[in-house]
Amino acid sequence: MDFIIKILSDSLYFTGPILLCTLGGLFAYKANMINIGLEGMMLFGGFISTLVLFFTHSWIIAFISALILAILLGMLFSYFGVTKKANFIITGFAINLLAIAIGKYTLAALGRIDINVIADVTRSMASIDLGIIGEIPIIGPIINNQSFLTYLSFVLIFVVQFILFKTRFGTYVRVVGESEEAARSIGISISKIKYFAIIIGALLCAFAGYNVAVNQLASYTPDITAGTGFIAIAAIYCGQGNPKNSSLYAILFGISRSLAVNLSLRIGVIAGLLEMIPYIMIIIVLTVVGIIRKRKTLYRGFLHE
Amino acid sequence: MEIIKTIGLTKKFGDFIANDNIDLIVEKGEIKAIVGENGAGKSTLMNMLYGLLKPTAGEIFIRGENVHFDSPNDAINKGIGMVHQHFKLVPSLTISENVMLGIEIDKKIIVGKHSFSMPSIDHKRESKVVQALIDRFQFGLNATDVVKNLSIGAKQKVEILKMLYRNVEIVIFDEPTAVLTPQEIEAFFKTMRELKQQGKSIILITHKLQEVMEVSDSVTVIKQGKIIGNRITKDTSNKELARMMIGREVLLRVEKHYQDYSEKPIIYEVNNLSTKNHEGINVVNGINFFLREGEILGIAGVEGNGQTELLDLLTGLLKSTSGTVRFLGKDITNEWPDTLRLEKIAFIPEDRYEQGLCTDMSIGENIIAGYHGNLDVCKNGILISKKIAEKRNRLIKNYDIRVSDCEGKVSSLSGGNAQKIIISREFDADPLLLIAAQPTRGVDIGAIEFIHQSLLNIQKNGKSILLISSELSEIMSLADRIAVIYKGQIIGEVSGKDASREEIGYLMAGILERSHENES
Repeated sequence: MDFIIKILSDSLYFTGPILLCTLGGLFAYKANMINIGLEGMMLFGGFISTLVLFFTHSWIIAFISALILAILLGMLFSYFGVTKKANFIITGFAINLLAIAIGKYTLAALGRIDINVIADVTRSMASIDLGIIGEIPIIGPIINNQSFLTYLSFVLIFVVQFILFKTRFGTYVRVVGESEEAARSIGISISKIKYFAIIIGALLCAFAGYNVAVNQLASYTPDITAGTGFIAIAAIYCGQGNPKNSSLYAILFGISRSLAVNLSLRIGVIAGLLEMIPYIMIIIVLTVVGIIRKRKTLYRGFLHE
Repeated sequence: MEIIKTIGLTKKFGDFIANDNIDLIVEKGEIKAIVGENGAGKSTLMNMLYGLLKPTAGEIFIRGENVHFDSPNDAINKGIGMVHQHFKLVPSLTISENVMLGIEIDKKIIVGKHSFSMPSIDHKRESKVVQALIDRFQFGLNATDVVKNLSIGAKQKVEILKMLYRNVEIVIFDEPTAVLTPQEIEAFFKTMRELKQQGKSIILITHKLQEVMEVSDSVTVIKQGKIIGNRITKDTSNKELARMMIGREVLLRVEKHYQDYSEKPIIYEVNNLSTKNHEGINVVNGINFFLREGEILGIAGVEGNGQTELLDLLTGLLKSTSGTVRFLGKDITNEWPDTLRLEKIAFIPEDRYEQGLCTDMSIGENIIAGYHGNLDVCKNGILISKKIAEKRNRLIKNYDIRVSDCEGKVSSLSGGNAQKIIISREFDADPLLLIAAQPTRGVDIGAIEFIHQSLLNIQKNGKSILLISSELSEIMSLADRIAVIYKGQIIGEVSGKDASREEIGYLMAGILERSHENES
């Protein structure tokens, strides 16, 4: 029983960052851009927040600097992907490579193998005790003691749903994604909407990076994201950018990661193999979603509006 | 009073002069028709008036005031609205959301005397306001309906509502009747006259001269970016306008000799054919028809009634859910396009750039496309450039295709000449059956004349043609029998010789359902 509770509790722990990246990235998806750079943006967030925390010992400054960097990255991506109309897949890829490279370079320059900030991460930063809610049998231990951003990520599902379907900005994002012509004809600035959609994504990725590097691990190495950004892209794609559906896939991927980690702790030697679970899960889910969609269509090898 | 006046308006795209010193005057409260062939520069002119393009030179005056538009919003603020040929609606949103796009009403919370704006949109109030506007103009729409489920005519009304809500005084209609049934066109003319009575000025862009004569007050003819002349409608005629547009006399209708085909054998037969589209909707729903040797069967209908899917089915791009297609007694249901070509069926696709041509490839490569495995151009899997060039030069000459560089890409050709590439390719394969969809869409009158004549010529050689077109006059002047498609079914058939526009129009609107005369 404890083991199952542990798996479920860890599922929340792993879902948090995936969910943040998913909810952020789906704005760009809805605006008809795919932000491949989610992974890199998250990694940059984790990197800059640990680095600043390491030197300033202030989590607020660390968090704010992660956000500022996210905005800059979002603008950089948009400048090439939107203004200059470069291929946004390549632009996103460049950001991913840049994130790893800068991280490794900095570590080398500092002569360290990681940026350890365990001394600056207080108990309440790592996890929040929900008090009486934590006392509820079974559910209590599962949901208790997560970081603030993990809780926030679940609240954000509903916030993003509201923004996308009930506000002007959300409506415009969908309009731009669906029909640029319609947007242009009534004077909506397509570039502006895309910029904002991408920057929101970058900000939420920075949240995710901060969550992993500071709240969860209290240290930075260039592999802490472990493909979270790409998993988020898979979740967005499977849920077709609908916040609720995409979040469900994000949670599914979170659960499979938790399974992988917990099972490998028990099994030992072949544990390495089990770490493949989340990635195999993604391949299976993408294949199944693909086959189902393909089956529904009678068209032969081409798409017709 | 002159509500719009342009002086020396010029637009250049690189070296190409799309509009050359246009001096246009539109009087308040009139319906001004602007006619010209495709590519004459009508759309460029309107896009400048609507702020989508910036003039290279020249001035625009609205009510005597010199204006400079940076975006359509500026034009709308000055009272100019435009209803585009291809609607600029968002399919997944409701009518009211589309009308209000860009000028949404925010939710307000009223506490005592103060009211606070919320960040969310007040969808309820929006639909109320839009419904009131719909009722005032008696458009018969429901403000909360989703746009993608509407008919084309209804979508056009939504576009008009968008402009009316923004209180424009001048409405520009770009080819508004291209996609409407004859009855919808009548209704649209009524709407236009009502708008005029309410004091709005209207600019009507079209290439259909009949409509110009029927509804407009004055006409301006544009050719190759220049104004050829201005006329008061009641003082001019179809013929004069056509001559001004083309610069020569044109046959507005080709000579067609009708004969009785009922003794000829049936060569192509479609039975109970059905299929679904991406959304799983039955778009083709039990279609039956047959084609005799040497006959032209026209399939008329308002766009979006399953023609595209039917064409995809018959050309092997889409699989059927039920039914059969038989050609010369052989079952060819769900065969792939290359097999169909081997059976000597040729296709002129609906969208020439999407399915008919590869614009980034050369003229020669396009001329053999689909037939590139034939022994005359290909040996042991290797293409023989010399033979391809020979074939290309022969077809260019025979079909009078105007090319500046015969080694060039297809993208450098005009619409009419690009279409001729397809036609020459398909005719040269010497098919027994030709399936032609919208063969003259977006080509100029001169090319239309040529294409129609060629279709009749191959008929003379005993070939059968299945003609799918939304251009009613095209079907009426070419087809021996006319079947009308409505909601994925053939709902009626009339003889081409004595068909009336009105009768077909009712069928196109789904009224007057008669049993299909199926002899098989």
